[in-house]
Amino acid sequence: MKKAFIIVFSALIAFTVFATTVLATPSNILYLLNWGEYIDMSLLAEFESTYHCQVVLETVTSSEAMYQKIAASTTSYDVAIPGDYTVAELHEEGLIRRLDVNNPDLPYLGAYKTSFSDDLSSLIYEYMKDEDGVYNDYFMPYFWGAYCAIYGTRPGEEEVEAALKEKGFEAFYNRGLYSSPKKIGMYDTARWILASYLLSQGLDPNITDRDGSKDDDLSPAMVEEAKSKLKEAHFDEFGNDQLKRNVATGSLDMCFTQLGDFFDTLFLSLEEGKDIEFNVAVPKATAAFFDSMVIPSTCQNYSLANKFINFMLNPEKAYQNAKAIGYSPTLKSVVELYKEDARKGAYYFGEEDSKGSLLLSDFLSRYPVYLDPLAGKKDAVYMLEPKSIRYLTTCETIFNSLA
Amino acid sequence: MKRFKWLSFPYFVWLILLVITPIFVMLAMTFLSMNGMSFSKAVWSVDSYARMGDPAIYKALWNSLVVAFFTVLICFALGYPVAYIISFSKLRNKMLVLLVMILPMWSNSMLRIVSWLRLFSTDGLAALHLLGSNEAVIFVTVTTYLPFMIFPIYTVLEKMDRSLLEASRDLGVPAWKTFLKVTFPLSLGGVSSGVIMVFLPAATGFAISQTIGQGKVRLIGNLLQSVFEKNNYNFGSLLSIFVSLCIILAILLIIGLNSLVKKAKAKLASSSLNKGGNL
Repeated sequence: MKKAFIIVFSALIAFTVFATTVLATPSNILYLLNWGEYIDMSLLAEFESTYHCQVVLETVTSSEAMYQKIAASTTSYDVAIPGDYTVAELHEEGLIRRLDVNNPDLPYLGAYKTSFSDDLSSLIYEYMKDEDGVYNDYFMPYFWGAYCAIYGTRPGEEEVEAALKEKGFEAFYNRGLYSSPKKIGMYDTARWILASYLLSQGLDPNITDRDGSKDDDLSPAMVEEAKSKLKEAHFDEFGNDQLKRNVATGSLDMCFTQLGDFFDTLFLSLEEGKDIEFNVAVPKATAAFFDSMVIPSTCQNYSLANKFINFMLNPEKAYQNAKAIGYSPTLKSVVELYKEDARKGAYYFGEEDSKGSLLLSDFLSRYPVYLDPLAGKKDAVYMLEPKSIRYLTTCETIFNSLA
Repeated sequence: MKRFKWLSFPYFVWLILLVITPIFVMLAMTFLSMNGMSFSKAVWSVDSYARMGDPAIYKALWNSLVVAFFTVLICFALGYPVAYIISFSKLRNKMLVLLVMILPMWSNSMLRIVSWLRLFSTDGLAALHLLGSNEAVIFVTVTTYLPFMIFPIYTVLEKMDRSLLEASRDLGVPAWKTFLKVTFPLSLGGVSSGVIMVFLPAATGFAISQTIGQGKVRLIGNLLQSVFEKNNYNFGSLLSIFVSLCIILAILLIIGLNSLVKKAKAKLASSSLNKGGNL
């Protein structure tokens, strides 16, 4: 009798555990592939409760990893947020699906032709097209920005600001511009290093030879030139997230990075109550970037994926997301919301009378590049184009020559 | 015992599936060109072999060997005395002492590396410009792998037949000579295990050089990581095979040297006995 009771009781417990696990797991799951700390988590929770689903978030640290995860199809992601040239690669290989832009229930998705900032739209029209024309109905820009320099503004660092404003990215490669040694940091992504060098020469960062050609791989002459210039540059530090912090603390005089990194550091420094002794410069010749929401062709929940993208394009949600993440918003409507809030006297950081608070209007006038990353730079703005594995490996070879 | 032989079957399956097959797949991949693991779009290519002429590979390999060599040397210089002192001490709870030594290893190694990075970045130490130098990379590698040297040496010393040391002492041999002629030769097995256990990760790691080296100290591990990160699994496979061969060669060298030393010792001992000499 005792044995029978134990068996029945155990079976009951096992069944309860199984049933609760199965019932607690929503059948409506959205698999989202994103970068780390690149979405306001409260928005995900709101989406889950609105659409009675569960969002499973997975993050990556590089564009190549993003591409590989989508191409491998081991997990059927419903929405991914790759960078611009990865979007182009994915589209070319048929790995992303056309979005449901004609669905009347998804108004923000349907308004894609007119909703994005003018400068961004121009870039999309120039770079994101194939033989059938611009394929903007396959991706919805999420955040955008430009490659830039973060520099110190402490006494003795004035030369750096002057050099960046006058010579652009040449300030990284020409030590002759300074009367005293400067500590310069460079991003440790090989392709960005090459791009920074080509931009410093006023060249398109996508060329593979001085003659302006764009081949499958870099020409030997270009490789040798980049290697020798990289050696001459004597960068004091190669890194990624650490660079911006080092400029903020004064360990570096300047570093090469992306615009979002600057605003991230600015917000952190304000939070820590530190003096803001650094600034940002977007040189006249630079490259822009934008990350976009796409639906991989292997997605299992196309309808929910479209609803998610539509949800994130809702100006209110996009504004909330931009405030939480700090990257430049892509939607014109969000730019207007920022301006409206600034007029109302809203704060970018802190509150009225709180120590170290910063008015949104002051923030926007001090850093106009936040809402318009390409302000006044329309003549020499490039975007990094998709490149072959051979090209990317050769970029690594150039970086490794410093070994 | 023969009837239990079939129990080793899973081991061979594991060996074939997870060791031998991947090596052949890697070898085949060195002759292909494709994006990541997209075998369906692969084309035959010798691009990977053409890249092997890059001097940066050999420079990075040399850097790795130099870092690993000095790491092993310092780990041995620090680890042997520690193992010896603990083993020959009259401490009641030696295991507790050893436990304290491996306490930092209970935390994630990446956390420890980042801790050193933060420490080297503090106002006081930043003036020494340690970050980005070979010396700092070696220092952090030593702190990471020191226990791997201490433990095998300690184990051998603990298991050593102490009566041999008593015999040496009874025959009037000075303590330093006993150490050189008896203790040290008998502990060589532990030393070579420690050397291999420290040398291997020190030569092939990339996290320390990347974090502490600030991108200025490029080891072969960094090259490998960067190539795989760019989805070039073909060149990555070739580099991996090449590095594996170099490491095997280095280990064979260590084992060869060890056996040479053992043979020389044995020869010396037998000639001493023949001459009727003592220790």
